[in-house]
Amino acid sequence: MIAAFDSFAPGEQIPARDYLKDRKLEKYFSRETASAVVSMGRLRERAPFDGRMPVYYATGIGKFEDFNLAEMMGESRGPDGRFSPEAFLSRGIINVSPLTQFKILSNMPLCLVSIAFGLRGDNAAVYSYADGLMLQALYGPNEYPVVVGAGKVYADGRVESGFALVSRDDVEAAPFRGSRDEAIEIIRYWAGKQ
Amino acid sequence: MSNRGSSSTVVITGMGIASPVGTGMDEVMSAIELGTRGTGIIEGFDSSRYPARLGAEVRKAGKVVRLNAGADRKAEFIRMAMEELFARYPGIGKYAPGDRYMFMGTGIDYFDLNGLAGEWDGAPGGWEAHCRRSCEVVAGLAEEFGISGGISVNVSACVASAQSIGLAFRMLRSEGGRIAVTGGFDSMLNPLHYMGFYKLGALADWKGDPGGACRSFDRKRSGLVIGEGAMACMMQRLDEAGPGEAMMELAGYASTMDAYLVTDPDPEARALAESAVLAMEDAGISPADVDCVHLHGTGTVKNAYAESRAMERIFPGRWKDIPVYSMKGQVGHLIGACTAVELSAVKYCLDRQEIPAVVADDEPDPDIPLRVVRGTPLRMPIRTILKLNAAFGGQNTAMILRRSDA
Repeated sequence: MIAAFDSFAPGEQIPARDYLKDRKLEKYFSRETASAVVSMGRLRERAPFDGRMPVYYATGIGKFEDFNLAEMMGESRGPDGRFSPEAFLSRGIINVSPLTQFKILSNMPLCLVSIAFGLRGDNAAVYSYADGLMLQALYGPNEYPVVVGAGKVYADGRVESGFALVSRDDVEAAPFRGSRDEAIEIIRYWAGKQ
Repeated sequence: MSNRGSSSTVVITGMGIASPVGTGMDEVMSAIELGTRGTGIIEGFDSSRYPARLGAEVRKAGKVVRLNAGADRKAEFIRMAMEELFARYPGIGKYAPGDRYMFMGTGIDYFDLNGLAGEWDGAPGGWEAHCRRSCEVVAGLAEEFGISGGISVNVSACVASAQSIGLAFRMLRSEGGRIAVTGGFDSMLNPLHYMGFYKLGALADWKGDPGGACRSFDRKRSGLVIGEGAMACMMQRLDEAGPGEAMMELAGYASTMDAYLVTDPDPEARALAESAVLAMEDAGISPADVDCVHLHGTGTVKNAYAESRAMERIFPGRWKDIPVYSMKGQVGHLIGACTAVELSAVKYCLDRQEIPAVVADDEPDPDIPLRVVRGTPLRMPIRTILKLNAAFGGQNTAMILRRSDA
């Protein structure tokens, strides 16, 4: 098993563009996606693998990035302080960039990592729970090893992400079946074991 | 346990559904037969000032389902689908909670805009009180319905439910579990998510009859009509199913990624076609065994081109002859629920031995020379269906579904 685990402090620049052939891709990145690109880049440096290898990724519950939601809601209040559809349309939504959708959609960290590194194989993007990622890694693949990843942005802006190249034995030995912990804990566990 | 069938044969033995053409499988089967149109002007919120107003809202007996203000519609719809599934197919009762799994596809978390505007001061994370997490919806339903074997919540956008069903298939086939409740649920029909898609420039600007707004392969197709819905399927191995319970067999599944552009599908559809080839290999069949194809058919210009190219790659020499269909003309694009809800049309085809006419697809596009079933239903022997779906971002799925003779 080979794992790459990364943690970036609140406000810390995430050097995703160091791993991009096409740096224009960066405009689509959330903080979680940028961190995931770094983690995949570091894993690929240590464990070159076939682009057709299965990749399963769990996106974490977002606690920090609001993608202009606060600004939008501030502009979407009517005189009574409540949500106003008129204000939402005339002011609130105006402030939202079309690029925001790429940062909100939960499959984007996986898809953008796929694009950045040419990953074309079996795949899945799951949400939050370690159990869900474990089930995917255990029953999803027709073949091993597989690449398993996760990311998480915390309330203070700290972000963690990681990917691990693992065997079926690695997956079966990881003590996360049934766990409602966030899936990033699996990658932290594997990174600590290597 | 009976000894019927192969231990590796996986079947769907129950379905519960809430869709833009009806709620409950009986209503939906009838709606497919009648060609009922589920797209229209959005009624669930006041859309009169919106720059786009087309959507596909869940209906019951022809009327849009109304819920309390602030309700997470997708959560209510999956509950309705689960209730139908468990009421009509009580066979799950013989399994201990630890033998039951729940794999669901879904979409973006729901935000209560009234709560956010009225109570949130903009502090990071302060939105939590007004957000309903999709993963927590699934966890809550699993607890309520006595499912404790494990849960997985897939968020792969338009293939989220396909990948959930695929995971259930692979788990059951490998004898990793005995029964799974799977499918998907989603609703993009709230101001925030709807306008997010509008900002992408992805929504249809069809000016004609709103019931004909989602035009899958039509020359005048103009974009997505996003909607809402839910499907809960029960899946198990054939040797665990009761006599006559198998609705259809899921015989093969595969998923690939384009790794192309985040904004567009690969126009050459290499990975989409590869997913179909892998699914056929998984099912142990050849392209000659496929009787018809249920395509994604989103109604965008680029999707139709890509799917046409995929057909050419999958069925060389036959791609213009094999009948193709998409349910989206009836129900719009249900994003995280689309594949699961569209399995109702697969069931219809296998049961009736008939492919419905694609709704709102009148004018062939000369650049899409596929054999789209238009005008009238096509009666023909249908044993095996290839179902393709693709997600924004480049994920693809393919399934092989066939009649179960058990």
